[in-house]
Amino acid sequence: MKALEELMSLPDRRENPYLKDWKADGGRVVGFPCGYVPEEIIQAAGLFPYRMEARGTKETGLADIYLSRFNCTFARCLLQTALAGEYDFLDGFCLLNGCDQIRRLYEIWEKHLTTDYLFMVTVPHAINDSGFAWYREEISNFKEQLAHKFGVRCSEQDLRQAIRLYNESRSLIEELYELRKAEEIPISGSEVTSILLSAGIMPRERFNQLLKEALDEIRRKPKITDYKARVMVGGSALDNPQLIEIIEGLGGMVVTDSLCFGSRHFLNPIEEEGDPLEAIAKRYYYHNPCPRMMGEFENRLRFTEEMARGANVDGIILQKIVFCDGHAVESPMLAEELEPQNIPVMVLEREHMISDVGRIKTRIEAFMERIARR
Amino acid sequence: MTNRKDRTILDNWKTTGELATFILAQEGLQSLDDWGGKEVVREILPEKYQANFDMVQPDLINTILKEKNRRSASAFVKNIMEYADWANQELDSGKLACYHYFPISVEIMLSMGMVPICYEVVCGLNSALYTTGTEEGIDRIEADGYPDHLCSTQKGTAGYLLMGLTPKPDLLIKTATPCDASNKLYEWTAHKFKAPLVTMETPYYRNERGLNYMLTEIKEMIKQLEKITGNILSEEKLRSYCLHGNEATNYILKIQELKKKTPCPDTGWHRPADTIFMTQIGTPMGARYFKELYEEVKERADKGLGVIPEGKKERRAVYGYTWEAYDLPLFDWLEEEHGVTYICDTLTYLSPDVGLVDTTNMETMLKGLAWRTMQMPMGRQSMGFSDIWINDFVNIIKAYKANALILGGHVSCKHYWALNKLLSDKVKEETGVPTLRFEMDMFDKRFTPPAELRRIMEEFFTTL
Repeated sequence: MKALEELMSLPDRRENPYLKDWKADGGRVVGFPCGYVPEEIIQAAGLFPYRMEARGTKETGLADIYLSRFNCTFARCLLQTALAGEYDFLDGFCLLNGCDQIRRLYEIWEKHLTTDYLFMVTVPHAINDSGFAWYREEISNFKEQLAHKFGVRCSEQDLRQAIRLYNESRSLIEELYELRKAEEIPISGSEVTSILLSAGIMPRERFNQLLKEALDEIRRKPKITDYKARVMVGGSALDNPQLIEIIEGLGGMVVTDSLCFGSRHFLNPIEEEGDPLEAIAKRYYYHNPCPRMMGEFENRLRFTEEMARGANVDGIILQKIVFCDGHAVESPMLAEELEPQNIPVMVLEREHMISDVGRIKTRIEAFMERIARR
Repeated sequence: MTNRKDRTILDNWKTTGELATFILAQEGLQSLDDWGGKEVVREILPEKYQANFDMVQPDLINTILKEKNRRSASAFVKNIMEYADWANQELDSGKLACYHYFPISVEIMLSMGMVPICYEVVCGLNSALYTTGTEEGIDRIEADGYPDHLCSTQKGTAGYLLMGLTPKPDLLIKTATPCDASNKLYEWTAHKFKAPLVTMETPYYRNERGLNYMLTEIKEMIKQLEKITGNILSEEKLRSYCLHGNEATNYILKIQELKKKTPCPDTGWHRPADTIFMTQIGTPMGARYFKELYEEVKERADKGLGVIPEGKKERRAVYGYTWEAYDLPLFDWLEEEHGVTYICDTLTYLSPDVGLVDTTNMETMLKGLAWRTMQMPMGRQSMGFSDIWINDFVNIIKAYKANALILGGHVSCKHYWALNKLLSDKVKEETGVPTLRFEMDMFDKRFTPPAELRRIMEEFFTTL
């Protein structure tokens, strides 16, 4: 199988062969649901950092015993997936106070699921010196707990190696983003989404190897030129290419994003000099912030604008999951600031499981009519 | 002072306070019907109160006129009046309007010459007092694209700010707890009105590390406030406000002790008001309110008196989350019709862990305020693990010999909706006490109107 096809198909395969082999070799897996968990530490401890998602979950009956219709469907689908036994392979689960709904999974998980070890890493909501010191201590404690509970080593040398490995991914992914800036685009947004999802669910060494090969394949691919508009996607956690496919099916071409499963997670390398833990803390604490960070709106606005202008987009779709409070406030604020700068914005509300396709299509079609360049 | 539109809400509160004082002063008046109904009473009132009288919820007037509620009602209206008057005068003198989240110490703001306006009280008090509630504020901000699942606690006030009915903020102070919705709406306010937002992180862990972090955050907040206001925090002033704060805290803790008695000696109608005046801990007004409540409750407790009609069996209800601000008379109705007394809720229960602020020096005071911020209602329950919320209420149910746990779920509270099942399960498991769970919005009566609330309660307490 060619590298690109391998990366694009992995998220949709019923069985993850990489995970299966890892477990068969006695490897252990630590899951995490949010981009503020430093994967490098899990990697350095010789464990498999597994980015958790809930793609394909169609209903939330089990999860709704503990959560409710007033909680976002990302949290509910994640819990549903776990209660249905699909995360039974996890040996550890690292939660954090990323948002109110995700952090509250901790106690439900502790009581109703059987994952061996639960970890909580807390991230301050404001970016300042004391917050940084707190976060650094949190990830240092996390490293110690991982080492202690799994009986593994996690030395400075291990951390440096993990940083190099993940920086390599970041650099390769940056190349991928660069390719999409061209007028004639070699890869669609939905294909990129699948590649990025693969990064979180396979051993990183293998991912890097495949992505290197895939980049060569992508460069040789026929270019996409028949799109109506270049689109950026932002907003809530998007662990599914389906929405991007809908946009692209209607003539949009998704060329960049400000997503936590996308650019916000994969760009920004870690400094390779100095204390590795300090460097990891800096990258995760100061990187392009999630709306959960307070007082950072101007930075997020700047980042959104830079990504939009850098990829020469015709419009931005800010999709937010119902009951996601962070993006519920952030999206109209961004729209209000970006529209006067001639960057059209559509705020689109959706559920995690994209079910009301008709409504979504109608709204996107209308937006496409507004922003289409041809 | 040519345009006082932005004082509309403060002015309304003051007039409502005066109106209620006038009505309470009428001897022998037990309900509006005693004077021939609302329309007749309106004509009897001095003209300056008539428009305000039209706004006030008639059921609330009937509730405060009851003999058992009069004393707490007097304390309530006195504080509304005094606060509105004080805030108006201070703002007129050029002091800065500092909107703050409710568990944050006002001692520091007052010591630095600011006018604290609790963001959540603006919405809450309007919801409690007026027939129109706070819905027009909610509708106003929703009209700008901010969805219904955001918390009405901030949306009401945010809408009033857009409508220009409350003073524009000169600055805002927000703790990072309890929730994303409040954090984001403070950020929205700061951005919209170009006011600085001072944020204060609240640590996840209630231990020495957490306390030291909170203390650092408070000190950092003070530095920022000194920069914004140009005023230096005075130790002497801070001490005097901390002493008022300690006095209020003491009374609250004593009232809580007295409520362990059977029959419960405290009336339930003013519980939302207690939350409102907990934002005044640190002021003479706050201390006076809780002193008056304490004296009333103690007098009843000493006499072995309760607050339900003679002959009714008392059922003691603990509200494991919160009250509905728009229907204060509900709690009086529960006492009268079903013998249900109101023990406490998350927004008024002050954990005895809170302690008093040591006023020895600046460091001890700041440490005490840091600790108190971590222990204040809502902050305590939502800043860390769910266990704190859950265990608190299991212990409360045991200590207060409660018969029922009421979980009115504020629709936009993601925390609550993610732990209510764990809470009711644990309560059932450890105490056998049944839970009533239902959906409501604390400030928007359109979600679960008063009649529906009564129907839900009636059904539950009839079968309990």
